[in-house]
Amino acid sequence: MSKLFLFAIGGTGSRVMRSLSILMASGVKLDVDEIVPVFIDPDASNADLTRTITLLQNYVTVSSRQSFPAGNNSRFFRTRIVEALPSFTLRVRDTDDRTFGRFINYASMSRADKAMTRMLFSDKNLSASMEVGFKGNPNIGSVVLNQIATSPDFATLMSRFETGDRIFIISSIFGGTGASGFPLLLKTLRSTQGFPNFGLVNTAAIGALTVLPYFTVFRDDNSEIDSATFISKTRSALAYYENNISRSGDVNALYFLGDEMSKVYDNHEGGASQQNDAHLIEFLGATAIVDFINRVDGSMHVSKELGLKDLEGSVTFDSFYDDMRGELYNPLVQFSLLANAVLDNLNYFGSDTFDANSSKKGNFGGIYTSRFMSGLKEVARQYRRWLLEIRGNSRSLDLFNPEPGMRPFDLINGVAPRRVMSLSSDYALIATRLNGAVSKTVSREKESRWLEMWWRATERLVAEKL
Amino acid sequence: MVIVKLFKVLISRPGCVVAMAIIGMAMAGLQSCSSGQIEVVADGEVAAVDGGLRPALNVYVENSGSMDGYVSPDANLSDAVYSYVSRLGEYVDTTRLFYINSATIPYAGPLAGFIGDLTPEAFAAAGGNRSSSDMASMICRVLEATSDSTVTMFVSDCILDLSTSGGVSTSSQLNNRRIAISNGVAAALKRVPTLGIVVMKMESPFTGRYFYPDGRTTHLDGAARPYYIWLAGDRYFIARMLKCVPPINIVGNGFRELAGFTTETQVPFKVTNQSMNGSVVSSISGRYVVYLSADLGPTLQPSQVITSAECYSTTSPTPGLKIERVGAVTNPESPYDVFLEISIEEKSRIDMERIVFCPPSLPEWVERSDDSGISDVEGRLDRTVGLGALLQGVSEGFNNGRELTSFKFEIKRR
Amino acid sequence: MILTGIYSIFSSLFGGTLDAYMQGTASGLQPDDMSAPILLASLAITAVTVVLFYFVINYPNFNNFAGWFVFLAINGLLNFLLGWRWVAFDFNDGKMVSVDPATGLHTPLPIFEDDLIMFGVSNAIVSVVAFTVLSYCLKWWSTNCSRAPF
Repeated sequence: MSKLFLFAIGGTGSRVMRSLSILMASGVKLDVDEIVPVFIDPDASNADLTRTITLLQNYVTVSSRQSFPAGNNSRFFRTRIVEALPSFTLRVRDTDDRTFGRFINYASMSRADKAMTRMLFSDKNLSASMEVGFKGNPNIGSVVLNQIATSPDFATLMSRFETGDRIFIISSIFGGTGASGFPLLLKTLRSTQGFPNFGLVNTAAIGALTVLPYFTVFRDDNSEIDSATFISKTRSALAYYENNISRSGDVNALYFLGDEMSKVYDNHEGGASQQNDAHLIEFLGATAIVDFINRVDGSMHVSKELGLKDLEGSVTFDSFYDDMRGELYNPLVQFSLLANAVLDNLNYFGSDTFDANSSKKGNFGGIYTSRFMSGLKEVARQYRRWLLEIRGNSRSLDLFNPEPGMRPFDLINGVAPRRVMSLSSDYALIATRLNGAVSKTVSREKESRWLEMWWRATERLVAEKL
Repeated sequence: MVIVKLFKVLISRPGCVVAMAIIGMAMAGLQSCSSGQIEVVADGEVAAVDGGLRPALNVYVENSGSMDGYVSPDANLSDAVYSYVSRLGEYVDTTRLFYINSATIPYAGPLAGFIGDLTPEAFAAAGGNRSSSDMASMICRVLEATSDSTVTMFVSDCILDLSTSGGVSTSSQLNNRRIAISNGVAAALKRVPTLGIVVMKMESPFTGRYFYPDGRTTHLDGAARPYYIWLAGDRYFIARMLKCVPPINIVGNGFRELAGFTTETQVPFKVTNQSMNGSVVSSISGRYVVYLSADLGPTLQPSQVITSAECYSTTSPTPGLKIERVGAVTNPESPYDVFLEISIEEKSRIDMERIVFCPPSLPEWVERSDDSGISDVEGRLDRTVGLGALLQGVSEGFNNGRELTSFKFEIKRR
Repeated sequence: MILTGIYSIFSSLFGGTLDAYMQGTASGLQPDDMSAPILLASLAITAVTVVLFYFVINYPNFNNFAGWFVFLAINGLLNFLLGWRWVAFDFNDGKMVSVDPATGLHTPLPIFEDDLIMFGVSNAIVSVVAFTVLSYCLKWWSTNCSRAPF
């Protein structure tokens, strides 16, 4: 049972994790059995983080009720997500109720230590509240996040590490938490001893995604976040990475992603108001993780960037080269059909009129009011919202029509659905395929059988029509 | 809406549907077991007799003195006999003509001459005892000439010559005549087992002397008086003659009544459904309606007798069958002359029936036409002295009053 | 014989005379049993309607009592028209006559327009029962409509 320990640092980490969750729900092939997400973010109330945690918990609600006996080729929610720590979060202690100055016990320092400290940190730094993170100050973060190596949460996490497991770290280079957290975490994983299974961890395959600036924020004199400093911070961080990460070979695969900074977000330092719309870069970051899982092993040391075929206008499936398109197209289209059906037509599929529900076929009575279905509905809702955000963002990822209504095959812009030899169309055709698929399912549990039925039916529909 | 709800409840349970299907099939099966259908099969159906044979015809005209008034110029007996015998000529082989009273006098000439000689003078010239005629003797002589290939026709006023002197009562004389005729008929029956006798009452203006039994006479001038044409011979020949030359069509419009006499016979008949050509009958409102069509010609009975429902009766002890009506068949193309509409109750168990045709031994007109001879003739112009005894004798000779024919058929349930 | 029996159950609706006519025992112009071909045609229409509903049209949204009932009603209507027009054809063609035993002439049988219509109704009732039974026999194999009517 191979695992991937996925450290998502800061806001960017949680947003990339959000995209990855959707890819996993859709059944994009991953050569790993379990993923162990770990969020490292002192800003526990960060809306991006809380949103992603909710998504993950709903994913687990659905996934935990799936079984995959031989013959069940469904990939929906197939990859397990393990909640190794409460809310998937590695707690950063002592940041809620004190300034940085208090954190380092500046007041108790000797004059010499104080002098040294004042050379490294400004008065603003020392008086900065850390309640919503490090507000773009990686120098603060690099001190505070040192506690990771000795934290009980880290020990709990690493006690699960086994031979063959791998690690991936997601961070941004232009923020505070990610920029400081990534090198620290990498150093801890590669060099520190004394935590459980350190021997395995020190030599495990590690991948990392470093996200370069891809958006700006509105200028706000009351905020410490200033997107004018994004590039300069990036440049200095890259220099450090070049000397201390790339050359050391600590990372087996280092992924870089960035874009023109055309999107301007509202300026929020953190907390519940920091909720950025999903962005293409975060989606591509998730595909980097897929690439690492499927193609990278411990013997490699590579740096990777991504190229797209076409950068004119919105990014669509046609913008991807064939390998990536082949990986993404079927699972996402199938999942879109499922999600739209759950959101737009569950009244029909939950009714007695839907033949597969009969006791002689699927026997799905009760499933439509279960925790499984409410979890799935929530995932579908979040997916639709994600599609709307990412489509409306700049640069736009325009894969699907997010709200096709009762014409489910008007799904992919620029792709007209092919005609099928059938008297049924739209949801009637979907129902027909589902009714035909239900008798071929092999799973015993209702929830497994239900998703397996959908996988089989949507697989056929995509081949026939889309 | 209540019906829809009930329907929904009924068919929501497969068991109910299966039960309904079984009940439906059972009902259909039971319905077909009782089926509402029977098949009627005539038992002993008789084919029509071949009409190719032609008999000889002997015509006897009484030339007694009492007949003079019928051959006066204003009478129509001559024309009637002439036309009748002429038309019958198509259906007979040869025709022989005779005068008859106490002797039988052959006439050698042709029919036209014979008819032309139906005059009082010719009657007188023909010979025989014209003043006294023994009717019974004449009839017996005519019957003696009857055979299975010879039909005899006797034209007479049929007035019995009753003597009021000599001490023999009128009733004894009538009885004697009756018995003599009865014996004559019985003797003829032995020779001709299929013997039939038909007596047609005709009417003609009579101008001449009427002779009372007591010797008185009176003159009648153009009074409408009856005379009688008898036909005797094989009943099938007579039936054909009656059918082909109906008495009603005899010239002069003189035909009034007919009495027929014969023995029991089987006649052609068929039993059908409403369509008149199928034997399978479906029940309608709990009854089967069957039509029995028959050719009663060989019974030699007049139309009003064969269409009288009182002459038919059922014989089966099993109840459930009823003769609803009897009617004449007027269809000229039909070989039958009467039909019976018979109804059978669907739930009755009757499987066989024999309907018998049993007319009265003498038709009721005979009594109306009989006369004792005592009263004045002017008040009883349409009567004939002793007719009742004559025809009673014929009837007794045939042992009438029994069934003349019957129709037997089976009823098979389908 | 069972075929003939089915319509006779309803003879109180359309009249015993029409029933007798259809059995070929009332009119010389119609000596055959008409019930059998009418019933076979009705059963054929019913079978086609059932197969259309469950296997050809096989529309998922019809998988309930209402959808099934629509087809039941259509089948009933078609069979009403079949029964009614079949006997009406003979009626208009002058075949519904019997023979007067006296004259040998045709006389109309006591069959009226209302009887013809009621025969159509009877045929519709028979077809409704047949549709229901056939539905219960075949619905199990339908992909989309195995729960119609229940």
